[in-house]
Amino acid sequence: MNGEGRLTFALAKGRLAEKAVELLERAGIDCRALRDQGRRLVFEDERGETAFMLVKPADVATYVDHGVADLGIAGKDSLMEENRPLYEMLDLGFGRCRLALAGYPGTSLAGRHVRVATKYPFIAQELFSKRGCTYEIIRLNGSVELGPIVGLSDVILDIVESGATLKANGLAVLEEICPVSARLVVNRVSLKTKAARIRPLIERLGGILGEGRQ
Amino acid sequence: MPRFTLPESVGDFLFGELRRKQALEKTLRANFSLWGYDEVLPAGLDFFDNFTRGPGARPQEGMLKSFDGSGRILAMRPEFTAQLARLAGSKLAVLPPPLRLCYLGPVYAGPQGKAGHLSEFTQAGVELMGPSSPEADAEVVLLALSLMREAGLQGTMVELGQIGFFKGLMEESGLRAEAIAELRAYVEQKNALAIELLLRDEKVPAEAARRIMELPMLFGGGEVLQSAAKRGAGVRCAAAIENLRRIYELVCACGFGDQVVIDLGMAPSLSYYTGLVFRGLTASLGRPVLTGGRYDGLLAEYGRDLPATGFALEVEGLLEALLNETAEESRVDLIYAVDARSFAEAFAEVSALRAQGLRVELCFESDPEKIRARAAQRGAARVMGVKE
Repeated sequence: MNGEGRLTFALAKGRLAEKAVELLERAGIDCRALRDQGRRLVFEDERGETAFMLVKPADVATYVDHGVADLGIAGKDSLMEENRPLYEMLDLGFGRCRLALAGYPGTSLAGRHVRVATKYPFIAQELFSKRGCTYEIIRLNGSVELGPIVGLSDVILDIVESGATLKANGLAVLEEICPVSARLVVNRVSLKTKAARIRPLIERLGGILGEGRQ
Repeated sequence: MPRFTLPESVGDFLFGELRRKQALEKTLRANFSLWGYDEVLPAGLDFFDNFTRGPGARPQEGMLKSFDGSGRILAMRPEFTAQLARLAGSKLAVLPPPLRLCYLGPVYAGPQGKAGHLSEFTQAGVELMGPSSPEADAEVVLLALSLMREAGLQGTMVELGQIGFFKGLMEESGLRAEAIAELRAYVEQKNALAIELLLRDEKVPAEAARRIMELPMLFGGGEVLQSAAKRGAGVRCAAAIENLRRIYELVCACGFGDQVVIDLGMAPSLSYYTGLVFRGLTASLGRPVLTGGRYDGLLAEYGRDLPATGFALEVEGLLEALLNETAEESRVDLIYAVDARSFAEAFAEVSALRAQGLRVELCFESDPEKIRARAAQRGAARVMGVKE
């Protein structure tokens, strides 16, 4: 467990982390430790008030659920896939895209055995088990668009930003499942045991995001 | 199948680990007993139907099942409360209320148990059957608090909620049952965005929607109750707040005010809980150590219509939290044995080690046994300076 007075963040590596740091700095969190990264895995500020871990997006929920990180920032897609009991307190507004079913235009999903290629087997399971059709989930770790092209699957379940990759391969969005964006998640215990620091932070972040929207 | 391996998600307890677990269980039992609770140990294997009755109904995938000789479905106990309700309505039917019962033993989760979670773990808890007063709820909350303290946990607290507040808001909203089930999950997650979208889709009137959207942030000290009451709650919400206020004041009056917080956004099972809901937290564990609340509808299912309140705690979780605390506070990397002659020489070497960031403790014993014992006590992986 991480120390009493310290707030630990788990941030999804990559573009989300850059945006997250920008936002956290505006909310008054000292993120200088992250500037000089080297090969370290945990970054702590000089006063020991804040620590950061840069982790794979899919692992953010795990770190926060176990309480080794108090807060996390990750995309809604990876949080849905992990499906852990966390407080999901703010939509941070960046990293926007959509979770969608895609395939060749005109592909029918009704009344047949559907093969779904995806990086999100849990979400696919949840989605198709409610529809009462026969389905098969094929788990891939990348380049999911290949599924329909090489005949591995009928459709894919993936995140779609502009749709350019789909279009370039003759594929199209068949059905939008839900919008995706970066979320701030909080450990269920930390929110209460470190309320004095976390609550004002959430309120400040909420204020900054509110300004952005107007 | 490889030999000598265990099924997934179960573990053996050996030596020190087992001793620590047994010592903790002894403390828990002693405290239950001091508070006047009598221990029962229902059968570990029971009829499946006994766990799926009425408001306690568990999803069947959460249970390990088998059959008896005549084909009836059996289940390994997934929790104790349903069985204690069965006892209260059958073997203990002659006992006049209030009944103060406690238990401690293994429970089993179904095969779908989340990765990393044990399929077999130890639960301990109490049920206070009979009284429905705030005093009864305060008693179990106080017992939960003192149990966590007696177990040796630091920085513990309980969060109190009242399920009637959420149910009252749902009545005012006019939402359909399916939407309420969905909304409950979002409220538990404090997911403001999902709540807002659902209320908009369901066209909930603005005033009711505004009050529901406040739920995620309705946590903090006693002032939360005042502000919730002031915002013009309906009859059912007002009654829930009044009930919670009385429980909160009783617990505070007993000197535990600094360890109690309010969270009106707590919304565990709606069908099971009927009043107070609470969780026990410690800064050294990422999940609640104990959960509980009032469940007035369950006992009637077993032929004895008594209101009841109680809680269950996870013994392995408590052990994990205790280990996290001691690990952080008192572990060193290295024990360095010195005596008067080698002191200066040792000091130079120790300084170099410390410069590398190692936590080094000097030991002035000469008996190698004693030095090693000290190393074990401090969790030190290395010992230096021992003359064999």
